[in-house]
Amino acid sequence: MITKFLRRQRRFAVNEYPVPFRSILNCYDDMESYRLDRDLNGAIGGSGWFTPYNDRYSAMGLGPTDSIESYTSGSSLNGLNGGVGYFLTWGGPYVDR
Amino acid sequence: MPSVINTQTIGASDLCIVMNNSQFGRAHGYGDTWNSLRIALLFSAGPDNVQSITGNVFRVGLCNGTVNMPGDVTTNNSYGVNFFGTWARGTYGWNMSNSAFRRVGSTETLSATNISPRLSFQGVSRYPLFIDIVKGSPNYTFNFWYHSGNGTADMTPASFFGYLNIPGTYLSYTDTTYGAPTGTSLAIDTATNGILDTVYCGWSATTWSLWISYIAVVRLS
Repeated sequence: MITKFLRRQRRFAVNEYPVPFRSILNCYDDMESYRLDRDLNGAIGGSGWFTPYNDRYSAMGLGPTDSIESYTSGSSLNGLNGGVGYFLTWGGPYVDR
Repeated sequence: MPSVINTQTIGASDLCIVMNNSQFGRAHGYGDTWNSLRIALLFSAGPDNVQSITGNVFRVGLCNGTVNMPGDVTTNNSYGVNFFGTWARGTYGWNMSNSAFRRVGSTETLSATNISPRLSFQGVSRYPLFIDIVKGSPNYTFNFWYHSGNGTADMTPASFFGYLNIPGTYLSYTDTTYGAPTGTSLAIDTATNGILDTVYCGWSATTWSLWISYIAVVRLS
């Protein structure tokens, strides 16, 4: 259910950068060097990349959500503080009256 | 009376917030650091719904804090959509008047009434409502997702979740339309009355309940 937003901020290796066309050809990542289910952030596989992936939730997009499924039937809403945060979570519990 | 949690009778094991003459607010966490914020609800009419009701009000939007919300005697600041007037149940749901609202102190200001389109929702299916509030200086506006056809398709929470991040211009679902209704513009003074940092829902009916299956916030910009 979690959506992650890839922000790819990697640079060409310094020793290949002065040759732009050759740099593009020599800078790639087929993802085959990573373990299954590892976090992308910090991964530094592939070929020709100078820095690792920098991956995190985007400031835009899905924020706090609540499917209501974490609560118990019959509970009063006031004070409940469940739900899930994407990028950031709810700023506080429900206030209901 | 305050809202309670109960199991939806439309979908399997779908817990809901059951509103009955109640209001709730919850800080969305973004404070004032947003330009366009989507408030998304998946909801339905409760099994105790009635054919017609007059004077009922359903407000969805944003307000300042939870101490003085739009359903209280006085309100700090607020903006959103207000469904009101005579709620008449047709073959496929209810129709009612609607407009943008701003409530500050004890004064509620409405935009042009019956902004197109109206909202209909079913008593036998869950209905999505996306309100994309756009900041202005000083006038705020909103776009929203509304019922446009005669279908009775139920939207599941899983399907609803899948739509949350889709930009408005690409939203499409059975018998619904996403649009930018005219007449939603109202001046909002956050410097004087407080920032809109809280998601708000208020439902005034005492004779039938509104069931909210899912609530979410998306920062669009």
